[in-house]
Amino acid sequence: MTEQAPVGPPRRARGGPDRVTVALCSLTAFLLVLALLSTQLSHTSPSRAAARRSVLVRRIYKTTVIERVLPAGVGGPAGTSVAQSVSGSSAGSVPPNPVTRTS
Amino acid sequence: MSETHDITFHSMGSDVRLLIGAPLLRTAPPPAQAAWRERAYVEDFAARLSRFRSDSELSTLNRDPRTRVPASPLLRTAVRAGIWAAQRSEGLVDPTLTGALERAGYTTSLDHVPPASLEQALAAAPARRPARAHPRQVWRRIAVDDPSATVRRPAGVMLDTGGIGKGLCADAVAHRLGGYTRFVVDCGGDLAIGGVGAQLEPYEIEVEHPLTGEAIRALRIAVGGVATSGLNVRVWRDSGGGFAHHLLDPASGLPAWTGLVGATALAPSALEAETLSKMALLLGPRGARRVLAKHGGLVVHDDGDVEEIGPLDRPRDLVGLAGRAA
Repeated sequence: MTEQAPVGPPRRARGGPDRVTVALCSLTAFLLVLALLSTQLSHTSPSRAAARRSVLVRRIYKTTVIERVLPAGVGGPAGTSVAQSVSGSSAGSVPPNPVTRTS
Repeated sequence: MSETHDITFHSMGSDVRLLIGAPLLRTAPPPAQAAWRERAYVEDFAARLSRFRSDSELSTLNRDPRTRVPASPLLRTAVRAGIWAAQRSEGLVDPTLTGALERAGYTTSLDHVPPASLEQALAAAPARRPARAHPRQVWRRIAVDDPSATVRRPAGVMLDTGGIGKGLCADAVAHRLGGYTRFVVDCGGDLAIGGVGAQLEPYEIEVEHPLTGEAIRALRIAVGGVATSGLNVRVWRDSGGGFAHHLLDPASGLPAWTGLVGATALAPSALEAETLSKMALLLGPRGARRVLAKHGGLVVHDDGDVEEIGPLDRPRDLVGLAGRAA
């Protein structure tokens, strides 16, 4: 005699949501986390990238006021002075070096 | 942004240049204002110690028939500097050669007078030999007395500050600029350099060749003095048709022809650098090597060859910098 399977609606293995529901909920949760991470990344990424890309440029500007007091009879009365301002960050714009010489 | 004031003016028979950096103290005036203040100081210094101005304190002293003469603190300091230079040079840099200078023809300032040809003067000069101190060493009988505010010297002896005055003036102005980050005081080629900033970033000081006028070398100097003595600027034709210059052999009272036309010396101060450079030139090549060995320097031979002697680049170590900045 052959034993037959019971006939009727399929028996649920245990109580709780079915597999489809679980799969859908898991997928939804995964997508939510993914969306959250994506949102955070989209908000923080540009500043970090910019920080990485930025080049700190430091320029030390030196200004030298060069003044020459003219002797009497040259361009005006004694004590007249002419002044110019030389400014820049490169060595080429600095005034000439001091010189030791016979006097 | 840092600012430097760079002023050039004419005084002491030559160009004077001051480079003044930013003030260290809030109470110190800005560099431009300090530059004008120091210019006034230099001009006053020059007017009071000039041998060529009859109204100067030095001329008044030289005219005075007394052996003990009242003297201001500045004049006493200048005379004391002359005695110091004579001691340092064992009589070679002699402050009592005014009479000999006048007999050689240096009676008035040669400022703005074109010099004679040094090449021709060298060709006509006698055999080269080192200068020597005068055996009588009259300078040893000069004394400065601060309590009575007088200078004592043998009657008739006239004093000249000359190049020593330029070195002294450079040192004095440097002292007055102690409240600035960096500075160079250039009194006609005698330079005093200093400031905490200069120790961190030394100045480049160029040395001018006395024959070509070109820069021989750049010296990196953070602090101290550098000076050059040479024959190329104060050289003239004398009354006999020959040539003379202002660096005299004390023993003979005549211009010294030693085989050198220029000498540059480094030293802790401009006054000492001026003394050493003059010593080196007066002693000639062999003596110059000995004189310049410690602090460094260079000499230019009659043929224009340049010889470097001793340590030349001295950015100075930074030991003690923190203590000085405090």
